[in-house]
Amino acid sequence: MDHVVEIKNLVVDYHHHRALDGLSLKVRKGEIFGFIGPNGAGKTTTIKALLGLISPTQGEVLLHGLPPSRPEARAKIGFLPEEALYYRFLSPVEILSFYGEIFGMPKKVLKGRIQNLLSLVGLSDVGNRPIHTFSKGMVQKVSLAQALIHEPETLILDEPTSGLDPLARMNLRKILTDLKKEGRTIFFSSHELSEVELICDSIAIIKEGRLVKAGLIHEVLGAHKDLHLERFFLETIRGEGGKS
Amino acid sequence: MNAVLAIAKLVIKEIFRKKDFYVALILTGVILCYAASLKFYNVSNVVRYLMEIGLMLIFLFSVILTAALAARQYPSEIQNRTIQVLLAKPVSRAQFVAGKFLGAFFAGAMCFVIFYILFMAVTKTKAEAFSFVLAFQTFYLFLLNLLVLSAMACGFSYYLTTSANVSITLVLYLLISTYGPGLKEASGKLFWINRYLGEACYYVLPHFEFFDLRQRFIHHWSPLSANLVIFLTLYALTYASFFLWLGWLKFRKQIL
Repeated sequence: MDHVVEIKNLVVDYHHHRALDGLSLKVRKGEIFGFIGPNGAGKTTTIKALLGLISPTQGEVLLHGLPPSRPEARAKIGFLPEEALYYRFLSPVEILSFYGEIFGMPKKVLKGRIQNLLSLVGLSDVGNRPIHTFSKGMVQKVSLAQALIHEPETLILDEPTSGLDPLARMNLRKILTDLKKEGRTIFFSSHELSEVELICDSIAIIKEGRLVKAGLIHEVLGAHKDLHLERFFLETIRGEGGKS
Repeated sequence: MNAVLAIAKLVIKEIFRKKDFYVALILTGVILCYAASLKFYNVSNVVRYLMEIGLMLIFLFSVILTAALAARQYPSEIQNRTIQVLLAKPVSRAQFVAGKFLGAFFAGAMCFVIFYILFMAVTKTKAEAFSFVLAFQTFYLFLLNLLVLSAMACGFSYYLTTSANVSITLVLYLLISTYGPGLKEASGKLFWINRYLGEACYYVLPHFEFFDLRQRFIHHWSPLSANLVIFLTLYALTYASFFLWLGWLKFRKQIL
């Protein structure tokens, strides 16, 4: 299977508001795919549709060839939300154990995996501290660790750099590129266009629920190679705004 | 099944990490010890009366803890946005509903077991004679009571906020427990529409008072027949299933 994520003509209506309007996308296996757009463009709605958290009004979503409503499809993905507070009465070790138990991971394997993940995200020293004492950035690191607990084939990340300091961002970048080297696919939405430019193979730009541009990053930039993604993004969005 | 058990374990962990249970336990312990100390002065009727109060407190604390725990599960998952993380894993919505319910029920049951052990220990040390069959029936039927109550609070949690749910669940529970037996008789004296409403409530709402054997236990009456216990078990399971189905009906298509 070449594509791990396939979105075909996706339409999502919230009451009287159309959040996504005929969105079509494909994400190839093993690539880092950046999903960008201004606030309210429909990025989070797309991610929710990918995870089966909302039912599309029209169109089709496939994860590893299966609809996201099927648990087998979701078993292959790891999801990092833009912001989650997690269970405040638990420590990172307990949170990771809980998510690991959902996948039926044996206790011994899970214990080792938790130690590795805490070390990967830099929380080894505070693994047993209650999460309510953590800063936003530390919670985001726990969030990344839970997304990786079952070694998913595909990662779906919603604003993964949110709340992270520059050092942690650099660490995250390294983690993502290492995961890519292991053959995993990463789909992430971000406002940090410099991050997207640094690590993504492909990008998609959406605005008002519609796809504006998509493809390999060097193809999308095309004749504008001298431009930074941020400037290209602004010109594209403003241009689209002018057309509409 | 992994998912249901993991979610249930998380809910059980929650009740023992919060202060509510320990406050209730200390209060129960103090009241029971006070009741036990009165026996020292050979006032056995007062002891029986205070034991009745002790048992009532155990029931009440277990009901409040269970209802509050069950009612806050879904709203807090939404508020903390953990539900998106959870349902992004191979967890179906039915498993989520089942896991939260089982967790709330077993957490409430564990609290009740601890309170009940304390109560039985105090009763035993004061050499109060009691029937073990009735002691077991009182214990078992109250577990069925918690089963229906936790399913009701869980089911309502998909429709109501936590505070509204706790209030409605507890008010319904107390009203039915107190006035349930006389509701049909009282409805007969009402004007026609009120009479039908009263009778509808009598037949539709779960009769929590069926599960309350305190009077039998304290006053050493005869135990229930096995058939009646089986009937009450099926009665509780039917209502628990109904309330969970009600919750799932709203949650299955809920936009998250």
